[in-house]
Amino acid sequence: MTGLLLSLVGLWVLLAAIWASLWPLFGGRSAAPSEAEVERQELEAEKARLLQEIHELELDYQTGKLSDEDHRAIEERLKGKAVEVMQRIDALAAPPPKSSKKKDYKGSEVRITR
Amino acid sequence: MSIYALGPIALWVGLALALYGAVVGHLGGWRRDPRLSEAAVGAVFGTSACVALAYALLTAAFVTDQFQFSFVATNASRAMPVWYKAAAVWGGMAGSMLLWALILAGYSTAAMLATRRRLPRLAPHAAAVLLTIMAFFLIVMTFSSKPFERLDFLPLDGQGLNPLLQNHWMAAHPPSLYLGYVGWSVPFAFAIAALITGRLGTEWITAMRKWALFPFLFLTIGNLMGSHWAYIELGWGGYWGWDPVENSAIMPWFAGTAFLHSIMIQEKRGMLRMWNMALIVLTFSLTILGTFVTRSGIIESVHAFASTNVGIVFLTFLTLVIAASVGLIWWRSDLLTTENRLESFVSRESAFLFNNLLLLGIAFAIWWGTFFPILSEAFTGQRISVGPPFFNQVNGPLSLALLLTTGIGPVIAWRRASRRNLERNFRLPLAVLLVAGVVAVAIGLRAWYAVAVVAFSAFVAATVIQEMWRGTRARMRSKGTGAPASLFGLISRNRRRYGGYIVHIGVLFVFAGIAGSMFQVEERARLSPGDEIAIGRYAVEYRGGDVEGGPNYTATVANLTVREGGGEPYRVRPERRFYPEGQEQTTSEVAIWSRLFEDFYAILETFDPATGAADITLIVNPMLMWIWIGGGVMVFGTLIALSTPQRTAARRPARDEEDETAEVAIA
Repeated sequence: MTGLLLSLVGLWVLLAAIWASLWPLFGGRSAAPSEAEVERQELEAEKARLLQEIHELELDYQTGKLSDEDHRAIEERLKGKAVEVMQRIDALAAPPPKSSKKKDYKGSEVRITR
Repeated sequence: MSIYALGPIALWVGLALALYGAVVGHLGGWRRDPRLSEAAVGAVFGTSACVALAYALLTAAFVTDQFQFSFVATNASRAMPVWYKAAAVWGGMAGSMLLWALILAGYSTAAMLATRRRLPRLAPHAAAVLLTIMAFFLIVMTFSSKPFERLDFLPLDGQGLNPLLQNHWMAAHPPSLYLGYVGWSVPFAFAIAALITGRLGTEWITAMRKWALFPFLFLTIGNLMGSHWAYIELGWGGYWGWDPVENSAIMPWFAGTAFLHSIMIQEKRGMLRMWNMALIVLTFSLTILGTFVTRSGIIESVHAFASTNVGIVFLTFLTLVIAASVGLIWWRSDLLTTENRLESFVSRESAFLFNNLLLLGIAFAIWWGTFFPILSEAFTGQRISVGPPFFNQVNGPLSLALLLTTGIGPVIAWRRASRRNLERNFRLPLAVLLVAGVVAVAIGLRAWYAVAVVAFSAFVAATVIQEMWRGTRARMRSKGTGAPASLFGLISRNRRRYGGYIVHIGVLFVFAGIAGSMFQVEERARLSPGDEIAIGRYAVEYRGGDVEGGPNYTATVANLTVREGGGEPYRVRPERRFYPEGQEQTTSEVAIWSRLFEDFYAILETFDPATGAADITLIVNPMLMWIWIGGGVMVFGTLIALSTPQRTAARRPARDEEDETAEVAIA
């Protein structure tokens, strides 16, 4: 009796495995995000990465692994990229603009604390 | 119908689902079709369920003595403890393949759960690659090395597991090693996905950092366990014999370590893109090679390789993996160009590159020494053995250079190191290096390797302490907290970096243990009861032997009383065990008196019950404990690095007061 029960459980596992594989193809609802959502996610990930980069840059500078000149140049480049990514995220999130004027991050302060 | 009939069915269904998923995964990724992509992810889950079912059935067959299965009958017996019966699943080829597949199923499922929303462009292709690897192992198990193959008769008992493997370290060693081997499949799969999609920036590198740390962690643990098993079970007094199977396990560790370091350069400077691709392909290929070497029989002889078709299947798969990967890298070579060039040889980028070359140099030397006997036999018909002296002579200097770069890499400046940077960051560590070298010579060390290890280790320790102090001081200034709180906050906020430094400290300890083993002292003597022998500071008295019984063996035991420098007596009892069933094998169970700075190690070679006389080998191993301590520190450091929160869109940085890493205030 136990053997039969266990065999049925095993069979159920096999059928569930087949169902999990085929279900999305034949009528299952896709949980995949839309193109816009994918782009937003990628930009958010890039933003997080850039912020981490800026933080680590500061730590490297504080511990003497970057010259003043290199620190300034890299920081400027990373902050410029971060601002650009944030503008793109805003553009994706915002409803269609009434005016063509974009939010201007240039000249804004990007502040990183340690 | 017996439930065990479901075993081969589960493998067949798993194979069908894996092949189906591999096709729909690439199609879904290529066409950006969410349904096909989801179907590939579903196939990962489905295949994993099938493999888990097959594994559970095989374990049940072992535990309940189902000797109608050939694999169970040759690797287990009724007298074996239940724990060893469950561990015997991976005591042979077919079970090892199933364990490989099970671990791959676990990694693949976890990887898909973690990435299918976060990396929707890469995940379907990665699923397809993981399922292709899975399909390969399922093909091996359905056509060649079948775990559920039945015998024509029902034996009363099985042959039992090789007694050498009936040790708790050896029971845990293969799963850990396989967790290391198989774990590299995930970064490899995402690297291939990045090549196929052309998304070759930092996206896949950033996403795969943790997935590369997992296999590094388990390979470290697996190799440590294997060394410890060799030390306590093989009875020759050492922990690493440059055996081909050991070498196969350590090669991916070196290549993977190179990868973990070089991806930092790609993240920070956009360099080494093609190099990183090549490194992950190499690391994954070495894991397949390692499994192939261990399981094909090629190590014993090229003729053994020819006598089994498993070797040819593995070699074919390995060739296809390398050919497809190289083809993809060549196809995408225009996108793999570097963003920045190496500006100076005196820079962090250069130090990391040098570190990579050393790691790969060591891996290549091990590969060459491991395969030279096979190549020589294949080409000349004569087997020319390569022994430990080759490995020690080649890897000794390379390892020392590697130790030195362990100290240089973390403190040298990016892009180009100015004179000011060099003075500021290296003045103190170099002074420590010199002082440590002088002290080492003054206390009597004469072997140049040992002096260099002491001096270089002190240098690396100084760089790590200096780094931690400077980071702490900067935080004390910015946060206004005390030193302990600042140090804690520093490590907590930069776990990857400081976890890595802790790993470096562990490496120093391992080097100390290895250098100490150069001063090993050995004595062998035939002793009668009441005889005494001296070795180093130890006086050893032999008090006769006993014959004892175990659950599935009989043992002869020597009773030794050891006094260090006239101190309190310590009793050690080395054994020889005879396992009468199956393979009728004798094993040596050494006795170890292990202390922080020295191990006293006793081996019973022979025992004559008639006279009570025994041949005994005694070994004093200085500093050996530090290998295990260093390994533990490396594991601890890796765990700290692994605990870094994932900073992605799916899990955005916490916005609390303590989040100093990524707070951007737009005024």
